[in-house]
Parts: sequence; C-alpha cells; structure tokens
Amino acid sequence: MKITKISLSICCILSICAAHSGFKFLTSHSRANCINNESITWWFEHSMTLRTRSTHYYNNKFKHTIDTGWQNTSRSAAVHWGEGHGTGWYVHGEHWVFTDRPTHWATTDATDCNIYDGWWDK
Amino acid sequence: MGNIMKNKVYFLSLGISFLIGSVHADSMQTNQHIKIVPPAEFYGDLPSDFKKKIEKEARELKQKGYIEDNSKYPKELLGMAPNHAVRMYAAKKENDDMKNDLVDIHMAFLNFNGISFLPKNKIIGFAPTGTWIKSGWTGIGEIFANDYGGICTFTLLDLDLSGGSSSYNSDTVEYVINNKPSMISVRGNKKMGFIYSVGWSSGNIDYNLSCANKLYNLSYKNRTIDLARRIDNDLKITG
Repeated sequence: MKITKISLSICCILSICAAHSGFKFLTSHSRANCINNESITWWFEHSMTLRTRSTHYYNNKFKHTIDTGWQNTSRSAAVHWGEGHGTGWYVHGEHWVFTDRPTHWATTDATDCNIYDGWWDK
Repeated sequence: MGNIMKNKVYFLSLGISFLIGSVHADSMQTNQHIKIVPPAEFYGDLPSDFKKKIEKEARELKQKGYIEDNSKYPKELLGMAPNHAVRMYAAKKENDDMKNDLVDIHMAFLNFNGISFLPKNKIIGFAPTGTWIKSGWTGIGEIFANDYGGICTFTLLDLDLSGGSSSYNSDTVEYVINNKPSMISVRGNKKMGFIYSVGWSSGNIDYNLSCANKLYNLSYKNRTIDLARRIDNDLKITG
C-alpha cells in the first residue's frame, strides 16, 4: 500500500515536471524506466487530431507496441502504466498530427526520464 | 494570321507553359521529409469519419471562406496583448510556459533569431515545439502582435531533426508563399473569433503562421498570407 502511494506520488511529480512544455505549442516525448514507459503527444487544452505509437524493448528485445490510433484530443498518450520499474527499458515513440494536412511530427527515443533538461533550467 | 505567325505563337505558348511547369516542379522541393501526394495517400490510414470531416471542412472553406469552429484559441491569443506580456515578464523574468528571450530556449538548430522586422514591443514571447533531442528542441514558436489588430504565432519545425515528415494533397496544395508548397485555412466563428493559418514548407522545415482576429474578413486572410511571405523572405536558418 505504501509502495503504491509512493509510486503514485512520483508519477504526479513527473507529470508536473513534464507539464512545462506543451503549454504554448504541440510537443512530443518518450520516457523509459520512469515507472511508466510512455510516448506522449500533447498541447495543453488544445484538441487536435493526434496519434501516438510507442514501442517498448527490454534488454534489447522487442516486447510490445501501444498505438493510440487517431484521436481528437489534447493529449495522445501511449502509456504502459507501471511497466518501467528498474532499468533495461528502451522506448521508441512515433507521433502524428493532422491539422489541415498530415504531419509525422516526430520520432522520439528514450532510455530514461530526463526529457526536458532543455526547458526549465537553461 | 499567317501559318508561320500561328506556329510562332503556338511554340511561344508551349515554351511559356513548359517554363511555368518547370517553376512549379522546382518549387515542389519534395524530399524525404516534405511530400506532395495524391488524395488517397494523403489521408493514409485515417478512419473514414475523420476523412469525411476533413473533406467537409475543405468544402466549407471553399464555400463560406472559413471553417466553423468553436475553439477558444482565438480568444486565448487575443488575450495576450504585448503590454500585458511586458508587465508579466517585468514581474517574473522566467515564465514556466513561455520565455521572453530566445536565448532562454536551447534550440537544436542554429541561426533562428526571431523574426527580424518585428518591433520589440510587438513580441510577446517564445516557446518550444517539436521534441527535445540531445542538441536541443527541434522546433520553436514566436508569439507576437501583428499590425492589423491581431495576435499571431509563428512556428517552425525541423523535420529532419524531429525524424518526421509532412504531406500535401496534390489536389489542394498551393504555392502562395514564394512558390513553396503551402496550405491556407481560416477557422472560427463570430462568438470566439477566427484563426487565419498559413502552413508552408521549405527544405526540411515546416512553417506555420496563425493569426487570431476577432472578426472574419478576407483582408485579414490576405494580410496573413503577405505576412507569411515576408517572414519566409526574412528567414535564414541553418541546421
């Protein structure tokens, strides 16, 4: 029970940190070994046609792919909750948006939680 | 008109057509990141209800001049008056979601110094877009007041650094921004205001200029296109 509470708290803190980007414009990222393994495409409170696909590898072996499919949403999140405990996970994300025309927005790769070191401290 | 004269006119027309065709072929600038594709490929694996909605919007844009949209984005942008932003930054230099100086954003590409012809008092702020890679952000956005009563966002995304690509529909692509593939839309309604958008591509980079105005007016659309042309001429970006 205590571990669950701690995990939830860490999840909340990580979500708050990630929230600094994606407020003014669309951004995308992946995170691995971060309690969750995830790929996210989002723009706070701006609903768009988005799609995210997240492929997860453990110790260089393919495990599975999560595909959100096309959605009208402000946050397209391909997340495996609780999968990213420990180390050894690698996440490959693909992000799409369709606004007037289709854009394969980005591909993102992650082996850790540190995605936004370029934002709040530089 | 004699036969020789007719032949001259014919070959002259043929030559002009060929030249126009060549200019467009060159202007397409297609590469692995920017593609101009037939309609079937354009929609890709988009579900049929999404496709129908987009096709309906295209018809609406053609008939009415704008796509009916109840988004609050025009109001959000119009609420960002430059004076407000200046006061906000005077009180707090570092803002969580927007920066008042480009140097505070670590970009993965070089030599984007903002839109050079904008007066400083018209600039509201900068924020990243795209994704974060080891060398920095792959996209950047600038928010500013235009000189026709609206607030604009200009974004650029380096598709090469992002590992992405962008497609235009060969049936609807335009070449209004300095002969580069482009697409124009207007969205909104009388209650929420309107967003006039111009998207265009050059090299590996996708650009978008979106300007909010309270009213629908064809002149705002044309002025936004003119502004996009001016920005495109102003850009000097290297990877």
